[in-house]
Amino acid sequence: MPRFISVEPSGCTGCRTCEVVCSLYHFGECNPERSAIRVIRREKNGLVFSLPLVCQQCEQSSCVEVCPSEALSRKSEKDPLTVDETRCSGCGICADACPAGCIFLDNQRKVAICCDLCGEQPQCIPFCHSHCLTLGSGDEEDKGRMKRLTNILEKEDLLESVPGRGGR
Amino acid sequence: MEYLRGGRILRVNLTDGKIRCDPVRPYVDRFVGGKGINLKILFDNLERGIKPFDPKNLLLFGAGALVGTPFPGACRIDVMAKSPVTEAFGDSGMGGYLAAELKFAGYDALVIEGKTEKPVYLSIRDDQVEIRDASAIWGHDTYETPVMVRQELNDPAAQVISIGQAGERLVVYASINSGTGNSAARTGMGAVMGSKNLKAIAVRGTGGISVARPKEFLEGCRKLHDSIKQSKFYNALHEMGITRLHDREMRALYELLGPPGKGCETICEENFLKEHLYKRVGCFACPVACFDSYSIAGAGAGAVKCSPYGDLTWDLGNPDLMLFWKTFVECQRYGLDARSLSNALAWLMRLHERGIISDRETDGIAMEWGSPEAILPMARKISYREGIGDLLADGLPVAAKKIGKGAEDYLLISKGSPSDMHIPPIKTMVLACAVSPIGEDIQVQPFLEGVSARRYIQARDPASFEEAIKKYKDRAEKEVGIREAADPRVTEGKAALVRQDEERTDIADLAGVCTWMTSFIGLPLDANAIADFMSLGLGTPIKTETLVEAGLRMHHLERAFNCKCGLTRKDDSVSKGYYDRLRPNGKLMPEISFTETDLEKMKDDYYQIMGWDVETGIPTRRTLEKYGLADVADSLGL
Repeated sequence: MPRFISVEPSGCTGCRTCEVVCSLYHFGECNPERSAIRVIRREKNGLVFSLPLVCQQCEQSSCVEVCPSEALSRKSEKDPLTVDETRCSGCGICADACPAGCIFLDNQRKVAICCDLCGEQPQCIPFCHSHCLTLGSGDEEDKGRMKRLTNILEKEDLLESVPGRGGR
Repeated sequence: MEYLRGGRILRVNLTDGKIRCDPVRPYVDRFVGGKGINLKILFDNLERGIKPFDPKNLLLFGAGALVGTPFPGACRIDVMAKSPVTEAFGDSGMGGYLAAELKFAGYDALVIEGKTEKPVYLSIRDDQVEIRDASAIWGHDTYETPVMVRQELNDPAAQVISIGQAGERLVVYASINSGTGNSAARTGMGAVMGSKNLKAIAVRGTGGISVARPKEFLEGCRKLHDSIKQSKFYNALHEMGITRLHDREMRALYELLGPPGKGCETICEENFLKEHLYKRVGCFACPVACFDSYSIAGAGAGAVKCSPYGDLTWDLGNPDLMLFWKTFVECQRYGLDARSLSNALAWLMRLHERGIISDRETDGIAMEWGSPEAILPMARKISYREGIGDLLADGLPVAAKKIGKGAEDYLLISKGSPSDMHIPPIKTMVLACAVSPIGEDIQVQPFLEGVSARRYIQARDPASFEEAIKKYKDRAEKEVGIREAADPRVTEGKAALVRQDEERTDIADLAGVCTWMTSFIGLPLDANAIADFMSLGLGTPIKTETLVEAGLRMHHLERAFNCKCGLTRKDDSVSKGYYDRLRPNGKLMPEISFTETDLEKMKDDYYQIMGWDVETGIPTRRTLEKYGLADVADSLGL
């Protein structure tokens, strides 16, 4: 299995540094809307809940399966998901299909954005001061990783407001 | 393309509903961003003599130059207006997420003028700006309001700030709150917002902030993160916020102020945090996350940092941190400045102690030090203008006049603004407070004299004191060129220390960087780092000296604004309550305190450093021209 950015959300302070770092690295601008990692924040009763959402590089990827233009693929099973921008129509079906909404749309270019692990050196990880983000090893299969994120979203009643689904 | 900027200034007139955008470019070279640009707009656009609650008063929100990038702590929004507290310059700031969102929406500043007939809120979604009906939201607190606004806009990701019941009722100590701990609480900005019938502002931006040299910017930010993490206090700050430092700080301050109220020595914020912490939260792009959030059954939920812990305990003779928490949550919900509340209550407690007021004048409540009955109901009373709260809601100078009987002599205020009760009136702090354009400004706290004053009271004899402060004198000589600046007994060099610290906060305010990233709490960011990253961001070199100059220009303009409001040298003062307040071990220690003569001497020095007229405290034409402010000199009639 490929490596992936593992999310341990309990310490997330919601600072959104990962979002701006991602877009700055990939597009030369600070723009959370063009980031492959997005922090879902909910403020309620004086308290903040926050959770970074980023592609979990699932072996059985529902996003790949539903893509009508076959724009999503992996070079090999060890490689991260890539978006073929010449094929991608920006329809957003992938974002709806991902159980935790971990693939996003770049509304400027109308294409999907997905974590590419920055070529094995994810830029967001060293910036995450609360150690929510770590590089998950590709050696050991962790089948429950996507389920953990969806469980958290479900528990917080946030499944419907993740970025790909109108939350952003 | 405009690097580092949203690019536009959004101007909304609530009276006629007109909305327009101006380019930010004409402002950036001289006024940089954030507080600098806000100030220039306020100075140029506010007619002389306009009262704070006049619809013609402006309410400005300015995002700093580095906000929106991953520069650590670049999250601040500066909030400015003519103040109902000082009747002159009003300015407060808040962190959180609004500033970055405003820039993502394409704006560096938001300027609001006029007044609507009915309550409204402002919705900004990129280019789409709407003034919307807030009748159904009016009356709700600052926790409920953002939830209602997001729901109505069907946008859970909108950043919302609002006023609570205090701002709606024009309580002069009203704040503007984010709903999760961030609060522009000083100088009554919430009351100005209330006077415009503006309940809330919601912002959602989907654009980006361009950076000229992204790879170097990113790499540099990563290094700044590393250096922050390696600093001495970082681990404690990251795990426990300010609590551990503040426990020590409060003890050190009361070492100078004199014995605190009964039981206060047992206060331990760190233990309170360990027992009750819900979660650490922080602002946009901040690696520290200094807010402690709590959700305590029967006591309420919210987020807090630093000063309120002390404001509502030590300063009121209250050893009970749970009482602090309950009171603080009320302040947050109603949108009331906790520090002003603390100051007002301490004043009433002092008046009660001296027999100047009785229970009859305070709704049957005995205003005794530390009494829960005297503390807990007061946030609501002031916010809703109930009973004694109504008297306090128009400001302490007004309340003192109504009470009479010498009540005024016990106020602890400067330019009408209630001071932080636990700041000991040593010489630098008194000067910083007196010359501050907004009354006491807690951000300016020269370190050297505070520490040497404590060495003085701890010293056995003069020789051991000299030995103890040698290293501080060495540092004073290196930093401001005056060895004696570190000696708490003399006025020499105090103005230079104050100016040095003002420079630190000025530059942070221009860039929108939290001053807590600086030496204030031992973190390493400084003017050089800000200049370096502005250079990388803009793609043109910005020298540190250019920022220092812009900071000074801003300071001259603040002063000029106050001069236009009629303030002069005589207004650079502190209230009577400041004198003889320093009582280490319960005894006066005049040599490390200050006299009127000391203060006047230090003001002379300060005006000379600033290039202001020593007689009047007004900037000279020569100084203003040197900083490119000839038009300002003209408008002051110089």
